[in-house]
Amino acid sequence: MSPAHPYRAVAWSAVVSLLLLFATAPSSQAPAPPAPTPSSGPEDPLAREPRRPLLRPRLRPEAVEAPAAKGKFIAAGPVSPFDGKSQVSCDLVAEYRKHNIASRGLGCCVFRSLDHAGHYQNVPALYGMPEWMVQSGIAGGGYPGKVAQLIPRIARDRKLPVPPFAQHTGGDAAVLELGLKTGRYPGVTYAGMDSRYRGPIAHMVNLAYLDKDQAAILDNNFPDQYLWMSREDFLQRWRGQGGGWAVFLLGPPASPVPHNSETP
Amino acid sequence: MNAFALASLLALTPAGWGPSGCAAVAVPLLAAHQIPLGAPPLPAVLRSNAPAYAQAMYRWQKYSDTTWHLYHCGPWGETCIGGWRSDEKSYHPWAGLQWGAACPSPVPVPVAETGPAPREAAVENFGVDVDRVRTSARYSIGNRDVGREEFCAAVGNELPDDSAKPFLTVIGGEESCNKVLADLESHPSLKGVRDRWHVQSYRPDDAMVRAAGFSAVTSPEVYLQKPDGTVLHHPQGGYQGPEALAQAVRKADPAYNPKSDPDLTAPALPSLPPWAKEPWVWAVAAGVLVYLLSNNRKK
Repeated sequence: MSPAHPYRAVAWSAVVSLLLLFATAPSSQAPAPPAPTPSSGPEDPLAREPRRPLLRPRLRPEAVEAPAAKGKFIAAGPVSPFDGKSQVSCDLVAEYRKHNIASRGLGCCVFRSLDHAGHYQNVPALYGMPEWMVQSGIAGGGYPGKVAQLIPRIARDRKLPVPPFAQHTGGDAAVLELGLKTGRYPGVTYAGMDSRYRGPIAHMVNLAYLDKDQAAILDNNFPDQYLWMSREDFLQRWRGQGGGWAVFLLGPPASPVPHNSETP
Repeated sequence: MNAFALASLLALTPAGWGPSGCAAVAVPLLAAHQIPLGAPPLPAVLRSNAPAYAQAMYRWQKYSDTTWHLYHCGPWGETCIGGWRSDEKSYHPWAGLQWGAACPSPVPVPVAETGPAPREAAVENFGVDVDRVRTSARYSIGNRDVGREEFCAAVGNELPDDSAKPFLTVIGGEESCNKVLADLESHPSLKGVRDRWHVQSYRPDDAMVRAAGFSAVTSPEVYLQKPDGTVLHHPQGGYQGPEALAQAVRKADPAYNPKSDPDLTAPALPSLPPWAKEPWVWAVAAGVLVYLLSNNRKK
C-alpha cells in the first residue's frame, strides 16, 4: 500500500471548501430587490435609522441636582429637583393656588397664605380671604395681632365656626417640622434674595416641605411652581425680614390620597 | 496790606498741620474752574476764653453730601485749612483763595466718609408689617399666648402626635354631610370617633377631592383611611347609618381586636380560682407533666 501523498489531504480540503463556498453563495436566480419608490423631495431624515448617540444624553440641570447646595434655588414641581424623590408634604392643587393681591395699597401675602392653608386643610371660613378684605375695605399688611383679629372676624362674617389657629414668632424650626409632620400647611415669613427676588423682601409664603437637607415653598407671587432650596437657605430667609413668623391652622390635615391596600 | 497781597502770601503758605500733614512746600494753585470743594465760609470768631493750647484742634464741617471742610481751631478763631471729597476720596488743602492739589490729609478723614456708605437695599414689601412682628420667641394659640410645650402639644407634639390618626372623610352635599357629622357628634355608638380620627367633610366639587381621586357618586360617600391613604372601608352604597359606620370604624380601627368584643349571648365560663390565674402555676404543672411522661417512656 503506497503511502498517501502529503498534499492529498490539503487538496481534498481545498475542494470541500470550494464546494461549500459555492453552496452558500446567493443564487443568481434570487428575486431582485424591489425598486425604490421615486421620492419627490429630499430624503426624509426621520425615515432613516436613528443614529446611536455616542454619549448619553445630558440631563437638564433642573432634572436632578444633588445635593441641595447653599445658594441654589430651583423652581420645580412637587418632586425635589435635588434628590429626585422627596415630595412636598402639602401639595395644594393648582386650582386653589392664587396670586397675592393688594388691599388699599398694601399686599395681602399673609392672608393669601392663610387662604392656601384653608383650601389645603378644608377650612371654608378662610377661602378667598384677601378678596374678602378688599370687599370689606380692610387694608393689607399682616402681623400676628392682625391675623388673630381677622380670622375670627371673617368666620363671623361668613357665619362659620372660628377655625383654631396657632402662631409663632422667633424662628424655632422644630415648630415648622412639627406642623408639616402633622399635615398642616404653615404660612411662613420669607425674605427673598433668591432666584426670583434680587433683594430682600417682606413676604409670607406657604412652606410645603422641610427636611434636614432641603425645603420647598409655595410663593403666592409665583404660585405655579414650588421653589426648592437648601434647608439652611430657607431658615435664613424665614428668620430674615419678620423674624421667623409662622401661622398654622390647627384643624385636621387634608385627607390623604386614597389607595388600595398592597396586601388584599 | 491789600487783599491781593494777602492772597499771594496765603497762596505760598505751607500747607500742613498735624502729624501727617502735606509736605511743607508751596501749594500749587488750581484754576478757578478746577475748584472742587466750593468756597469755605469765613473763619468763625472764637467765643471761648480758654487757654490757647486747649483750643488747638481740628474740626470737620460737612459742606455738602460729598464734601467736608477741615478747620483748625486756634486761639484766634477757626481757619479752614482743607477739604475732603468723599466721592473722589481726596484731600485738598485750602490755600486762602483756592484749593490745592490732592495730598494726604493732616488728620483722619471724617469717619462716616472713609468709604462708600453702605446703601441699604430697599425692602420690597408684599404684605408683612415687619415692625409689628415680634422678633422675640412667642407662641400663641388663637389670641392667647402659650408656652412652647402647649403650642407643640396643640400642633402635635412628639407624644400626642396626631400624624398616626386615621382619616374619616365624608364627601357629598352639605346637608347629607352635616347629618353624618351630627351622628359623629351625638350618636352613642360613634362616641369618641371624632377624637380618635381626623374627620374631614368635603363637597363633591372640591378640587382637592377630585385631584386625590375620591369617588363622589353617592351622597354622602364615606371613606375610612390609614394615614398613608390606604382605604380601610368605603361602602359602595354610601352612608348606611351610624350603626353601620360604628361597626366599620371598630373594624377599621388599628387597635381593634374582635376577640375583645363582649358577647352577651355566649354562656358564661366557670370562673377559675385566683391561684389558677398565676402563670407560674401553669409552668410548674407543665414541668410535672413533662417529668411524668418522660418517666413512663423509660419504663
